[in-house]
Parts: sequence; C-alpha cells; structure tokens
Amino acid sequence: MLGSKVGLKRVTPALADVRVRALLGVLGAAVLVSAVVFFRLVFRRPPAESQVEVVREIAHLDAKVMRKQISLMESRIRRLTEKRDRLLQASPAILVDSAENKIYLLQGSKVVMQDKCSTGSGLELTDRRGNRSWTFETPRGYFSVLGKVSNPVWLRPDWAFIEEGESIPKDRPSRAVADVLGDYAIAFGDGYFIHGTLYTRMLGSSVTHGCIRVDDETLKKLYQTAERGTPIWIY
Amino acid sequence: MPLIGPLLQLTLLGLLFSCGKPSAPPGPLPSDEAEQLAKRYAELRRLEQALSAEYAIARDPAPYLVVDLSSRRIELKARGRILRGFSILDSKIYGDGARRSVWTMTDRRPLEEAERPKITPGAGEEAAAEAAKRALWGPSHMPADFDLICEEEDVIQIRALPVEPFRNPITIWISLAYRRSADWYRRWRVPRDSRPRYCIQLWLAEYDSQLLFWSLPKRLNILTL
Repeated sequence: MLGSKVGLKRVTPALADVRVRALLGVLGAAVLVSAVVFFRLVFRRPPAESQVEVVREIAHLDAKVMRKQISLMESRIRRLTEKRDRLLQASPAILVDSAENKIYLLQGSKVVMQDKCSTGSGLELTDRRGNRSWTFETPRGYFSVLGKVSNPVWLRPDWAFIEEGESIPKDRPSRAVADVLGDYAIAFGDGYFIHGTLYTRMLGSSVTHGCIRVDDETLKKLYQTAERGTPIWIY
Repeated sequence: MPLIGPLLQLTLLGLLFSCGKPSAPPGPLPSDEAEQLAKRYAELRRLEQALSAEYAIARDPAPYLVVDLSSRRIELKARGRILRGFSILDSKIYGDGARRSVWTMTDRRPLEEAERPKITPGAGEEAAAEAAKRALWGPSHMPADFDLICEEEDVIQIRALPVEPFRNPITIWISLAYRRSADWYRRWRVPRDSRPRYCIQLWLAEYDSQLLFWSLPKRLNILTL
C-alpha cells in the first residue's frame, strides 16, 4: 500500500507534464485508428448492388415463370461450362511453375506427370565494359513447342564466356559443347529450351540462365509426348 | 418518468402483434419464397455473365487474370485452368470513368523496384549457381505494391497487407494503419489531372501480392467481375 502510494506520487507529476499527456493522446489515437482499420478490413462485405437490382426486377413475377427462368439459366450455364472445359483439349500441354520449380505434363485436364525442374536464377550479368547485360530469367506466359532435337550440342553464347572470364571466340565451332544438355532439347522460342542437365542435385532451385532443366527420365517423357505446337504455360 | 407507462404499453402492444402467426394467404406465393427464387436467379445470371465473358478471353491461349470482387478472388488462368489463385482482402474503386469488364495490361509498375543480384564476370558458372541456390532472388524478393497499367489509362493497383500468422495482432494493426495511410497520402499527392480515369485497388496478403507479381507475363487480359 505504501509502495503504491509512493508509486502514484512518482507517476502523477509525470502525467502533469504536457508532453507526456500529448504522447499518450497520440498513442491512444493511433491504437484507436488501427483498431478501426483492422475491424473494417475484417468485417467489410463485398458490394452486391447489381444483385439487389436483379432481385427487385423479377421478385414480382409468378413463381412458375421464375422457376422456368431459373431452369433455362441453369442449362445455359451448363452449356457454357462444357464449352469452356472443351478448351482444355485432349492434346498434351506443359505447365511450368517457376516459383515452386515444378513441371507438369498434362493430357487435357489430367496431370500425367509432374517433377522438379530448374528455372532462371534472375541474376544479372554485365560485361566488364558495361556495354551489354543479360538477365537470366525464364520468361512467363504462353509459348509453344517450336521444335525438338536429340543429342543437342550447346553453342555457347557470349554471356557464357563472359561469365567464365574467357575471351569470346570468333568462330562458331569453338562455341560448340556436346553432352551438357542431356539427351534431348525442346525449343520454345527466343533461344529458350527445356533440356537435361549434369547438375541434377540443383533441380528444384532457380539456378539456370533462363532455360528449363529437368532430369533424364522427365526429359524423355516430354520429348516423346510433346509435338510441334504443344502449348507451354510458364507462371 | 411520466413517459414510462405509455412506452411500456406501446412495447407490450408491439410484442402482441409480432407474436401472432399470420395465416398463409391463398393464391400468390409468399414473398420470402419469391425473394429466394429471385436471389437464386440473380446469382445464376451473374455466373452466366461471368462464364460468357471468360469464355471470350479463354479462347486465346495466353494467360489472363480474373478479378472477382464479389467472391473476393483473383485468379491467373489459361484456357479456363487456374494457374494461381489468391484471396482479395479488401478492394476499392476510384475514378469517374465507366467500368469495363475486360482490360488489357500493357505495363506493370512497382512502387519500389527490387534490385537484382549481380554476377561478377569471371566468377564462373559454379559460383553463379551457388549464389542462385542461396535464393537471392525469388517471389519473396518481388515488390509487394505495384500498379497494373492498362489501356485507356485505367489502373489496377495491387497493395499488400501484412497478415502472416506469426506476427502478433498489435503489430498487424499498426502495419495495416500505416500502409493504408501511406497509400492514401500517395494518392493525395498525385495531381488531379494525372490520376487514372478508373482505378480498382486490391489489397492482398503480402506474399500473395509478391507471388502475383512474379507470375505475371508482359501482356495480359484482365477480366473484372
């Protein structure tokens, strides 16, 4: 009791200070505003004005008429859903999730194969003079298989030499390196490929220069299934 | 005090009237069933309009975004297949322009650019791969607040809210208040004639916002419902 009386005597002069009271007021206001914002966020309802208008428009109709309208609407929705689902054709498609580094082979809407892959690292390389730079990113969007090749030979581009600190050769044969891209390569445009890798321990990480790397078994399945025009979606 | 008697009587009268069950009138449908049917019809009509609009875009194989404000979902889709889906925590609409249902995104502008890690020339591929494996770049490094610039000067603003489960409620509340205030100030600073014609602002969880930015292609059709 004596301690609390002494404590109260110490606190009271502090509260008498205008600055302390102003600070407490600001803190209190901030807590109040935050609470209001938080509860508005949690309890906000989505707008539904157009639904209210439709309800008012037809609520006066006879029940039999309304039930018939509902039945017609349901069959229209069924037909539209079937039309939309037919867009997922029975032919194969490839999906690449670049955030999770996973690749999926689909037949229509069914996933027939999924596996780890590696996609672009996102790192940037600039040559020493600062004239040219490359961003090693796997592009997002829609692509299609443009061609496929077995026993591909890698023609090293300029960035591969710059990255290693080597001088860039003038002749094309000096750029060729065999047996680094696996047994097959599937092209989907702008110099990007789905191909194999020697670095299988890195599969599942974003470590490539933009191409999509997969292991030998997955690569073989993709090569055998995909045809020219097979869609590829990367996201 | 003198009013208590009449007030009590009015209350008792009101209770008496509300307790009696009305008898079912013959002929026309009771109004609550009609309202139920009307609501069902309204839901179906909305769904039908959404499917029609989506089918028109989904015939193109390019990915598209579906922003459904009433069910509070944003989905990246291709040919009707959902590639990624996110919940919309909050949404606002600004501007005087007429609302369109299909927008074409031409650019995406983060409020703050994320800086890419660099490779030193001569470091070698192994060093680059090791650097990449340390996850110096990825969805969690993406900007969380960005604008999707669309044709006809319309904008979809994506803003992030910190709602991770492990942060305590007090810091979440303060972060929310700060972010909304900062966004309001940013909007207030823009001159009136530079403001977008029509703007939809969507608030997502922070990682969802970053993952959405990561997943977007360069050009995109956006369907708003």
